[in-house]
Amino acid sequence: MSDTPTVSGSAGSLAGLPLLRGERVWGFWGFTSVNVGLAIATWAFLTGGSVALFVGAKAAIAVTVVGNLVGVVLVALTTCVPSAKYGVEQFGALRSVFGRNGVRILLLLLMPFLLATWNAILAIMFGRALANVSNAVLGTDLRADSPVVIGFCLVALVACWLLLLRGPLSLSRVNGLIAPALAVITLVMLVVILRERGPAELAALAPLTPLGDPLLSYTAALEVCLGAGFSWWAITGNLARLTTTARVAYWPNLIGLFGASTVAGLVGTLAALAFGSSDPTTWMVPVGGVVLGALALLFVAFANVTSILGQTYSGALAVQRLHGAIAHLPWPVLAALLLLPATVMVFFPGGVYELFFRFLALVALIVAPLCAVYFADFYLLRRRRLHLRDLYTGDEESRYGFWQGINPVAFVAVAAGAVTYLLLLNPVTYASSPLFPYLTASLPAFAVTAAVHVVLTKAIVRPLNRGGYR
Amino acid sequence: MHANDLAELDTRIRTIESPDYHDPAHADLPALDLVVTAVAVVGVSVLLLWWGLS
Repeated sequence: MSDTPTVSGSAGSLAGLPLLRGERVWGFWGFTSVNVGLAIATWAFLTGGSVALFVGAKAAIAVTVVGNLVGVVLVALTTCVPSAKYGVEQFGALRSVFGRNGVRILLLLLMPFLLATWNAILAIMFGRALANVSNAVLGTDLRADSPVVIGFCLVALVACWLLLLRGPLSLSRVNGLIAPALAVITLVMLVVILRERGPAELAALAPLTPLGDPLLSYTAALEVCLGAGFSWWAITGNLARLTTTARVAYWPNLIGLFGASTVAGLVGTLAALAFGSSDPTTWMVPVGGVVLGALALLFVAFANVTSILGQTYSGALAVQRLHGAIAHLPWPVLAALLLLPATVMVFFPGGVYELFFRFLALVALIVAPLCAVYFADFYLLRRRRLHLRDLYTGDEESRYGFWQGINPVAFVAVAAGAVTYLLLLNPVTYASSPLFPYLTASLPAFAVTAAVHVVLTKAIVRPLNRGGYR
Repeated sequence: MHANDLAELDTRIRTIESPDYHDPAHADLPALDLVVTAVAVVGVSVLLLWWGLS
């Protein structure tokens, strides 16, 4: 993909087209560094902090590894493999599941919520990180929601917009510098925490606000980590289409999104347990001292910029499917429009930030069923085979035309999964059913969605000769 | 889509569908990778969840 936008080769105008071999720019380590950069943003530390609300260190290790592993594997198999195989955007390939208009409905409902909230959270953490650096190094007394912090948030979003103008290669270059440094700093923080407190002391620390029943707390923490794993669903496919082979599209997710997220999450958990705060921007200076802490905060702040960059680029590819007029907006205008909702939200930094673990549960409520319906469709019903031309032709000619460009069965399956989730766990209040401690909420939602989609497709869609199922 | 984009799309699909065109990315993820993943995820999850609760 071109680094410099041109009429025929801009990041925007190539967005909807299937990629040719020479346009796949990411090999194994290139895609790994992108994944590591995405993973070691402050959201991993904040997820770790959220886990510390429910469980202590030993249980946190178990749920962090398992939750991230299961979530990332399911997301990578579902989104990265098909997008890389056919060189198409994730939401282009999703036409085979929901139909063209179905994808538009999905995008309208999904992208504003996901993109605005994630970008706002990252920008706010960028602002708080810089404020803490200023407090530690310059002796200022900036509050977490001060106008200066809001100003820093806006700087982050403007910086992302400027980098977005240069297309996906700028993402790769920035990550190439930041990802290794972040990996080292995260490991140094882990060593510092372990040296200062010791494994025995850390293991004895109590969770910050447990739910009462230990098994319920354990599963709630696991659910937070599953939500973190599933939350990559909207981002990874569009990035993986730039990779050179199926293995390159798949395994770097386990090094970056799983491995790096897990390590960073555990550092966040241990620090939160040790310092009594789930906000990573408050404990980095106490953990590492002024120099290391400020350095860590600076790198984390800039990693947040790369994370905003990655997901906004991916989101831009997605929303271009909504309408031809959007696809032909100048790239700088489209990028600015996508960053606009987060720009509004950062004016309310406290409210956005404190809702984080509830937001993760809401993500799982939506994304686990979406992941499941795509997984069932691609692997179980279509046997990993899509027809490239039919992803682009009109609904009258395409085997993916369904009914007026919508596959209602896929929506019914997603709804069944979401209802299953809600019956097990309320993502806002965290009130749960007696079965939740034994099942989690997102895994049953995944299973129910997949089963409903397969059964209804075989019973209704295939006999009516819709959707190209054979 | 505009006419130029449609022409570009058609060219690309024809190129990709051409028998002479080879892109290593079009090969499926090997079954071995899927089996290793399934076994590892189930094994690691059961062992760690049991250990974390004990």
